[in-house]
Amino acid sequence: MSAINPDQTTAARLAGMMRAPEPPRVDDPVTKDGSLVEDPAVRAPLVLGNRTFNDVTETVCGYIEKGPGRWWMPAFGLASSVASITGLMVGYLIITGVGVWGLNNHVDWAWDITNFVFWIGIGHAGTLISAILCLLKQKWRTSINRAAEAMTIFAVVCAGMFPGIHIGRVWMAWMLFPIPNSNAIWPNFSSPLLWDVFAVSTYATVSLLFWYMGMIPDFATLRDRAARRLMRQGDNAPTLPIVGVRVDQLRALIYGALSLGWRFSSRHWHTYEKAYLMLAGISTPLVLSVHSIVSFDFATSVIPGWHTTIFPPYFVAGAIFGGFAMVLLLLIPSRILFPGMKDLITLRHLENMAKIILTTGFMVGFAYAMEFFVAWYGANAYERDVFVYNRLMPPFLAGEDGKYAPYWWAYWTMIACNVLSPQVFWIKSMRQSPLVIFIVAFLVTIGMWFERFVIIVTSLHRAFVPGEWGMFYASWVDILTFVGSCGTFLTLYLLFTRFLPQFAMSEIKNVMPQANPHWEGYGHHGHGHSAGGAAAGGHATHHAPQAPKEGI
Amino acid sequence: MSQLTSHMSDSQSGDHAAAHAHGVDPALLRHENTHLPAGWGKGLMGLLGVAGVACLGLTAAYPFVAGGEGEKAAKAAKHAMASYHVGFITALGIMLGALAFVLIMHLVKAGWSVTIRRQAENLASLMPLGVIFALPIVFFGGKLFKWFDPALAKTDTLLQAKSAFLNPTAFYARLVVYFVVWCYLAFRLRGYSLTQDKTGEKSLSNKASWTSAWGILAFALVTAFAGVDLLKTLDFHWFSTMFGVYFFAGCMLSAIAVLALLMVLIRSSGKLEGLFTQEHSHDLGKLMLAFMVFWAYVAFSQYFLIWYANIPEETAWVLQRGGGSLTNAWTPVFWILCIGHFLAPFPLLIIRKSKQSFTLISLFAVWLLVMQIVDFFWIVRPMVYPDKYIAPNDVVTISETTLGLTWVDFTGALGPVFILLAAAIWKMSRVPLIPLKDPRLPEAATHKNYV
Repeated sequence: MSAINPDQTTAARLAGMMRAPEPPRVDDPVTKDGSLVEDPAVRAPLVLGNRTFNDVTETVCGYIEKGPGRWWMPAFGLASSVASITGLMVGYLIITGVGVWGLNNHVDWAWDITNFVFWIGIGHAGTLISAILCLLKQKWRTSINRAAEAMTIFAVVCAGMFPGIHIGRVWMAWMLFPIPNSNAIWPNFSSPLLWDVFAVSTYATVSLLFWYMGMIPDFATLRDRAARRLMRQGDNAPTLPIVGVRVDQLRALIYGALSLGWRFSSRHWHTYEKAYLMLAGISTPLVLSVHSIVSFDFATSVIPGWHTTIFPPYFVAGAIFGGFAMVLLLLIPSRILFPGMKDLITLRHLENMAKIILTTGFMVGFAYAMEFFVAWYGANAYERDVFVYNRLMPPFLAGEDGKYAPYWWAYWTMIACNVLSPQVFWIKSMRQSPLVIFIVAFLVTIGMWFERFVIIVTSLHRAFVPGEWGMFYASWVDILTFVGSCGTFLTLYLLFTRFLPQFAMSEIKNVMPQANPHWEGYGHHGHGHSAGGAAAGGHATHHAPQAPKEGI
Repeated sequence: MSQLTSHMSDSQSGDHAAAHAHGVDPALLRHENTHLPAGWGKGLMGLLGVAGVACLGLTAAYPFVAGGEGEKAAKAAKHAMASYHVGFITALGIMLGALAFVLIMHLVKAGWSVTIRRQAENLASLMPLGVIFALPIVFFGGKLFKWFDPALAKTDTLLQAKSAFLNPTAFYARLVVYFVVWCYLAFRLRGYSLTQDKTGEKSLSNKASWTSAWGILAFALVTAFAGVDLLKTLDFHWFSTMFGVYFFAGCMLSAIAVLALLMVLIRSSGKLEGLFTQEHSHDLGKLMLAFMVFWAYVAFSQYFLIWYANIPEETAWVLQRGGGSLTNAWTPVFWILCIGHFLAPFPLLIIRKSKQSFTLISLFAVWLLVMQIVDFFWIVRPMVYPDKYIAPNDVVTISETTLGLTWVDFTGALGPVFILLAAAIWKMSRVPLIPLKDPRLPEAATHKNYV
């Protein structure tokens, strides 16, 4: 019996029809399912519940075909209502002018650019998971990559809005692009703000392509399922109210168009995998370049607090930090709201992401510390003052001169949320508890917003001459525009959960035990498993006798 | 057929089948495949050792050979010291990068790299050699670090502002802390690994993971500050927040290059057959490529931000190193770095074959190691030539400045590196070449890139 000449059982298993026998119970005090196994010789299973391939398809397609559940409509209603505030606020801003924000002569960038950097940072986790973790062969990424990529796109959508509306005369926004106009005015190519336009639009394009390309096989699955149901149900197929179109007809049409003629042929898969690897390779530098260029917006200037050489990698680490926090904020409730998702996103997945939060939290902590140290070490009076008297010094610690930092609360919120709160993940039970992870992810999201606020506003509100000092106070339009952008983000994500596959089905099936042709049920492994591997490399032929001899 | 069968024998799919894999083929783990015979490599070790000691001797002799009196003699001594500093930093960087490799691999519970990890452990555990290499700074540091001079602190306002950090006592105290942390981590992790060779206790892997978790934190802080202390304070007026990361990037790259060389050396002596294959070489090559790109990213970001903001207190350092529009003798070195350290090897190393072939990866390793030495040379040596401080408005041309390149630059830079390599070869034959009973060894032994 081998994969080349399969007997009936093997054939059924390879086709994903066969359920595996009960897996051995792993000694795992918390979950009993092996997902948190401590044994270093054992890799935790990535799909729980002894699933077949068919189960995975049914679970993922089920959310789309049967709907996510009764909670969805109210949630969508709420989110889209909040999203509509964005429209109102942007409309009000355009009609009235940027004066409706709290900006002033000193602080001419505040919530607008804070929100831009905040959202664009969140948009980094998706591409990191799908590109960098793919190159690093981290197989646990397969069950979180689709949702994270979707989130990336939506975050970039929210981010893209803010630079567009902050320029004052919004109808001139097209001048951001290098289009020669009738006045022969070109954008300033040596300005990082222009590079931002290129960086963000490239990133949005490639992320969108990556996301879409990954979904093509899943679209084809949805198309085929709809078509099969249509054939089976004939005239009894359910129809949409009012218009009277059969739902599955519509699905077959739309998903069919989106699947670009995908037929699951091995030639298609071959091309697909090559394209995937290439896009992963192209996206990897993009993950770093986008936020590096965003950091250039600040770091190329000569404003104390902005000009520091560590900004590019520090911004990238912060983006990954904030992005993973948002992935967790979305996926932890999803595990509860979508039945069956807990088998695909295990506690191990959450624990891994908690560890990434801890690691990247330390990276931004390192950058905070290094900035502070060099501000002192550089012995530049302005730089030192920005750190101590614009950011750090709370009023109750002020010296005899009574000098304190008016934005100390923002700085310390940032430190508490970004550096201190992830420290609970040193404790194993904490990083394995979805509730704790959710709370920390929430704090990190707040902290990362404050980080951008601290960088932008505290550096600007006191220029070199004390006559140019002044505070920034957010207006209600500032606040509601940001709230609205959160609503927009959530609305788009909810639409994604309703209409698009939330998991990359083929990739998940690839990391299931059945995908290994030498796998013959738990307790039987051994035949040919390591043998095939040893024989193949050409270096280790000692095992060859056990390898399948059949040719192809 | 082999492609097909191996494609299907996915060994690391994160499933139970992999989890219960039957360990490694005992034939691969037979004694003669995993151990070097006692006394192996004596010739190579002797050659490197003698060359290293000779280089160091010549470097020490340089001030006397160069002769001269007064200022000229002082400059010769400074030259010798700076050249030696390049070698010291390179050797230290290789050990630090190897330690980081061990820490990272334990931290992420990597399977593929188990068969490489022992050599990294060996390299890192040579850290006491770093202490010995650091001794000349204790005796002659003042020749290199201007701020050692207490008289200067009376006149230099910047130094006065920084004197809490920049004074010899604090400097030595910090060096002690750095070496204690590095030695402790290196010995502890290697100790776990060697104990596991004997007992096979699986929990040691978890202990190593835990040590690496807090260890990498301590390592990052200490290493970044070591970069500041040993390199950045050479020009104590200058500052850059990126510098610690820049130093780390160079350390990682040179360590991976040396690891690749050592692994190919072992394979060429017929050992580790089936345990270090072209698949491992491929992945090591990918890491080499990744850290080369990372170095370029960090170096570019640092340079670019300084260039764009154009603040004299920052640009002075770059101008002195020929990185500005004002060219000087260092301009060619600056371009050699841009091209040789990144632009030229990048399109070549991205080709799969360059990483899979033992010959090619060795060539790239040697090349990048040399480039890393040039990088440290570019940072350290302008403190000697050109000696004068180049202000942004000074008009300095190549003809007016000189690198002052002589044989001592080669002996000083290569001496410590040769000795380190000799010591690494000495370590190699004293312990098993791989962690014999590592629970993740089966994954490494069946590691494939195309599954």
